[in-house]
Amino acid sequence: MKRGLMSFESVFSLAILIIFISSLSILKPNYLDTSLYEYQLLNDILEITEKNSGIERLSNGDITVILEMQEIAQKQGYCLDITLELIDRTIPNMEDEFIIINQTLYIELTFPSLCEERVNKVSTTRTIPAYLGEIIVLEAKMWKQ
Amino acid sequence: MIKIMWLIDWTESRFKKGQFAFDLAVAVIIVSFILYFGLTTVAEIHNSSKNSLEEQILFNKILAAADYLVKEGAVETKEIFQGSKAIYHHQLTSFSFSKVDKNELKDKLQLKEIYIDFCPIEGCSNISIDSICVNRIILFEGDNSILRVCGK
Repeated sequence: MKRGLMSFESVFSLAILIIFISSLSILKPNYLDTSLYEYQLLNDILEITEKNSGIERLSNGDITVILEMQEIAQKQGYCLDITLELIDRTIPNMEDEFIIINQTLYIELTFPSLCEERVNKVSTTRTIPAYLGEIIVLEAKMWKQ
Repeated sequence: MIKIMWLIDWTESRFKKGQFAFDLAVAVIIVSFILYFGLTTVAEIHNSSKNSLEEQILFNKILAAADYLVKEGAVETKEIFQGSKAIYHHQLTSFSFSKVDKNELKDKLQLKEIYIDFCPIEGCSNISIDSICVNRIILFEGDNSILRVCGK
């Protein structure tokens, strides 16, 4: 009789536990997977910057392009971190002709957003040729505000 | 004496049998409750995941529609050689947008309704229809704008 009571109690407890765990999964909110959309949005920002002569402006040292990109992202409810690598492998020779030599000028600039950092980020890297021998490597990370 | 002993034994056995039946009845009621709540919970989980999946499918369809419009469907094109054309993705104009057949897009994606409009880069106003929307950043007539695609 006691053994039977014990097994009933254990089955009862197990059932209660299962119901409790199942209830927790119902309470869990259902999130839409928006990672692809966020990735597309990040690429849109880079794309329209390129098309709006942003690369030429960047090559000329105009960093307001970066601030404009961050502003666009912010208006869509996202934060944007930009890291720029400027690689210049061309140095003019005496005849004012551009030649590529082994010397490399390398500058890395980081433009962090002012938002609080989050774990779920989307990122992309673009290598864009600017002027003769000058390469801009643009790394962008974006996350929800 | 023997008769009294038999009577006591009979009463005890009757009592034990009744207690067992009562325990069984309680257990059956409790198990029924557990089963009822368990099945209700499973049904809730099923409904919840079904709705979530349907919402995700709808979102993906709208995402695909917006991507198609931004990369091919509504963008500027230019004929370079005979039969070949250059596609300027992310660059939209009123003329290029006028080529979009909303009904065809709606039918292909099996949507009940599709709504496409342009908003300033500052943001879009709320839409009245109860639907899922996707915003894409584009160049509309040379200016930064948002292409909003909503559907249900």
